Amino acid sequence: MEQLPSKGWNIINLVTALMLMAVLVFAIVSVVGLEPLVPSTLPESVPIDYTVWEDGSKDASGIEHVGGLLFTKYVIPFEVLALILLAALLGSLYMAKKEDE
Amino acid sequence: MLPVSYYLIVAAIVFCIGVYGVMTLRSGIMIMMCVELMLNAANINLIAFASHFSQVNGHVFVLFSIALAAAEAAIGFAILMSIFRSKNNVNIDNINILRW
Repeated sequence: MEQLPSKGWNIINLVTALMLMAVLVFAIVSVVGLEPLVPSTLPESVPIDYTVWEDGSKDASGIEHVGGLLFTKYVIPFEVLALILLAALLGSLYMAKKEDE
Repeated sequence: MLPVSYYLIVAAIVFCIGVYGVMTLRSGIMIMMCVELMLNAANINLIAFASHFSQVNGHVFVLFSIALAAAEAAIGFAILMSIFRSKNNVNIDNINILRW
């Protein structure tokens, strides 16, 4: 059994991953910018952390909108996804069963 | 609310952990776990921008993405099981049956 020289490749892989991370973080910071995490002046009363959605409603999580959108605008992809999951179930069953059965 | 760049940096870190694992690890199961890490980094980006722009479409897209990841994991582990039946391990150094 041939083994790749794992020890030397580990260093090269680590350096490659670190370089990729440096490029990604540099791109994010240069495009989006890094705002300070804590604002310099704290407000007197901390407001409730809600999100104002497209239709003007205020909701912290938006899960009601997600459900509504999932069953109106995206109902056909939802049904197709059910078929994909069924196909994956059948395919994995067929592939994982023993050969002689 | 956190600025969007922090979510993006977390996603970049998770993605690079996944890349490093895929390049380094030798077990097929660990490689599939690292592929899931990269997929979830993309999901973090989608959720961050959906929250940043107050759009719900990103949330729905992430739901679809998670379901597709489940299907992909099921197929992948089935392939690994059938490889394990024939070769008795899932070390990817030994899997060269598709090499010409």
